[in-house]
Amino acid sequence: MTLDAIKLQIEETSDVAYAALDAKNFAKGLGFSIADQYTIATAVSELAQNIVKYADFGHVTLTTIEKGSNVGIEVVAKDSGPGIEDLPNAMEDKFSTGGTMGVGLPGTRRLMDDFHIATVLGEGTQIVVKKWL
Amino acid sequence: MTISSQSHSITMHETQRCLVVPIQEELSQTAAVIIQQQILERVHARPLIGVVIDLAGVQIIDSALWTTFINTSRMIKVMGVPSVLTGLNPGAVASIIDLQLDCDEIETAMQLEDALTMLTRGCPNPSELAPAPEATPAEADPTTNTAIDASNDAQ
Ligand SMILES: Nc1ncnc2c1ncn2[C@@H]1O[C@H](COP(=O)(O)OP(=O)(O)O)[C@@H](O)[C@H]1O
Ligand SMILES: [Mg+2]
Repeated sequence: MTLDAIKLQIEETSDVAYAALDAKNFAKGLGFSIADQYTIATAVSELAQNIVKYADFGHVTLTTIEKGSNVGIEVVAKDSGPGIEDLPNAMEDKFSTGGTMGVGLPGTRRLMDDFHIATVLGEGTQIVVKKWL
Repeated sequence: MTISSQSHSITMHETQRCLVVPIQEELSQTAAVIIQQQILERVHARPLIGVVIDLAGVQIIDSALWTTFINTSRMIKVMGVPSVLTGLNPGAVASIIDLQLDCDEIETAMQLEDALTMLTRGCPNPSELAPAPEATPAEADPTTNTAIDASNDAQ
């Protein structure tokens, strides 16, 4: 059951920092530990950064999720950009087509409990990550 | 909580001939690049023996922000000045480890005093050197003096 959700537009570099801060506050509201709040914020920062850098425009949606008595946060980062050409490599550490560190996708997978990515060339990318309390 | 994107919210100061850059709030990538520029200008303008970047207010560190700090530290090292990062929070540290960000080439310390000890090591008595050393006959180099006189307080 969805209790609460926010949808954030991601277009410019400044949106990245604000999305991270919104995610931190959302996670705080759900009762995540301080360390987890920043872990989630960092993951959102990486995903939003990728939207700005590789797709120009997209959205990050934060949603409260529940499974039995467990509560968590779901982050969906969605864009209609070029898609990821080489997904297996993009999920590896230090792979970047943008000349940066190449840790955003593999690092986000480590930061969160659950990671799903769907990408279609020419159509866009959707990444869904979750973290449970 | 706010995000600093304004350069004027950072007030740098000098102690024991080290530049201290306290960052008291979350940083956007844009703000980090502005601060990098300000640090480079200060290092260029003044005879410093070290730079301390205090990240006490920064909890959200992603790979882009970390890269900016690493690059800042590399750049000033090329200018002959070592640097130390202080004040890393548990939240920031968790992200740095999970992202597997490169920590090998950066010096860190918990407290400002520890960082100053690291940077002033080998300097006989750093407090006696501060703020701007008098030119002794041995180092009466007019270009050096000009550089000191011309250094402005870029705050
Ligand atoms: N939203 C996206 N749209 C298109 N390509 C992407 C997107 N996100 C990531 N990528 C691709 O995956 C690669 C790896 O991403 P990441 O791990 O975040 O490292 P970096 O951002 O440093 O390149 C990127 O270099 C890029 O080629
Ligand atoms: Mg990235």
